[in-house]
Amino acid sequence: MRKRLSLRAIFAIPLFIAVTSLIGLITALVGNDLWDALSWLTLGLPVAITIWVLMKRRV
Amino acid sequence: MKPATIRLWSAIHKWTSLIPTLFLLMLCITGLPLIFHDEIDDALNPDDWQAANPGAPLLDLDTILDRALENRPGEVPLYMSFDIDRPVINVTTGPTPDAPGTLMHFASFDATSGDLVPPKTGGAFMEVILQLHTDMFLGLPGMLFLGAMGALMIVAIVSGVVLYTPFMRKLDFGTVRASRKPRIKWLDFHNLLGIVTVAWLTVVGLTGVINTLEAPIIDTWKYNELADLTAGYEAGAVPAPAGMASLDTAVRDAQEAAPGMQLQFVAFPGGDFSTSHHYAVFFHGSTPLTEQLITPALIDARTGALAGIRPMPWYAKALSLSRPLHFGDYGGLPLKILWFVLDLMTIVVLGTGIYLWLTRRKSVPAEVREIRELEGKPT
Repeated sequence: MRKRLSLRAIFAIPLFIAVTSLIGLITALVGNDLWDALSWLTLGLPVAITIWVLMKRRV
Repeated sequence: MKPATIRLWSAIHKWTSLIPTLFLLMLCITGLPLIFHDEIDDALNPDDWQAANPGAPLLDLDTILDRALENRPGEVPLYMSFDIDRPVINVTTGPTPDAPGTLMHFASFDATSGDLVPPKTGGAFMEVILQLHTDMFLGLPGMLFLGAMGALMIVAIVSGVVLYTPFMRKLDFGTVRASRKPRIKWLDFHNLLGIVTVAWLTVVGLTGVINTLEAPIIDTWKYNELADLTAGYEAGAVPAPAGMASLDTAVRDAQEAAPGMQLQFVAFPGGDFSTSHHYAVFFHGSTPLTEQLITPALIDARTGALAGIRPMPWYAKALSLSRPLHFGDYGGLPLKILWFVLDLMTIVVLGTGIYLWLTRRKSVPAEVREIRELEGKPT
């Protein structure tokens, strides 16, 4: 059996996605143009990751 | 995590998901077209309207108000709002100052001529969707009920994140065991889509709950912040339209008192957004952040005297900021498209959640068994 992953290993990527999502939700609120573009990048991340998982070889 | 702990959290997750799940599905599905409300509206209403006298000086607000009341004999004015991109003034009237939304009448007037502007067409379908989404046609109780469902969803999100830990102890992020039986495959999808949308869904959920509290928030604001203005007046005696001071002068005085702010709408005496005795002239700021925040100037509707600018308290500001954060309409079309995709992903999370519940095994809680399997222990 594989060894157990630590909490940090389990939540590293989810936490990164959550924090960047929150940053994106706020940046679109405080400004336009570049600030909006930043929100598209950060909130695009969960979507991009899902597409990546759907495309990679499954186990 | 001990099996007893997992069992407790999975019970929390199960019930806080199962109870609201059909309502959440309804909210997600009706939310999809609502994200593009403006675009759908524009597509159904090609902008071919022309002002009767382009370039002519605009009529004053008292004249527009008179036209609106002639158009709806016996009614009283409730709100007046101003189109941004064309010289059009909208007047909402109703049989009484405290008329419910269903009895209100909305009409638009050409500010260069006072003529009626033809109402937008094709909005009926979107109105039905919006009503379903906000209160299921049940008014305030329906709204508060959906708010309660949203609050349960927040608990479901938290318990889902807790349960994510034991499930992922031996799996790398993003693992989908597609070669295993369907239940395992869909469990992995549920966990993946749930964890990547967690921040977005928490914000959309919380702001949705805050939006359902609009009526109590506005009531609290009136009760706490405007009570001093009504001192000395007979309770409940709303001035009749004929007994009101000039609206045009009132709005002009308010604009002078609020330099640099943009006029948004006027609430008439006796309605939700004002006292029984004042015009409330609402302004918003001109930066992206402050344009979401409204500030009223209150003017005695009998004498026309400016009572002052009353900045909104924090809870009313929270309500104002909750609207864009829930609707996703504040970052251009790409943000709306992302909102749409994230909404679809939430529908998959809800759907797989229902599937996982339907295919559960009753003897040992499925979660406990599957986690034991993962850990190589006998079930």
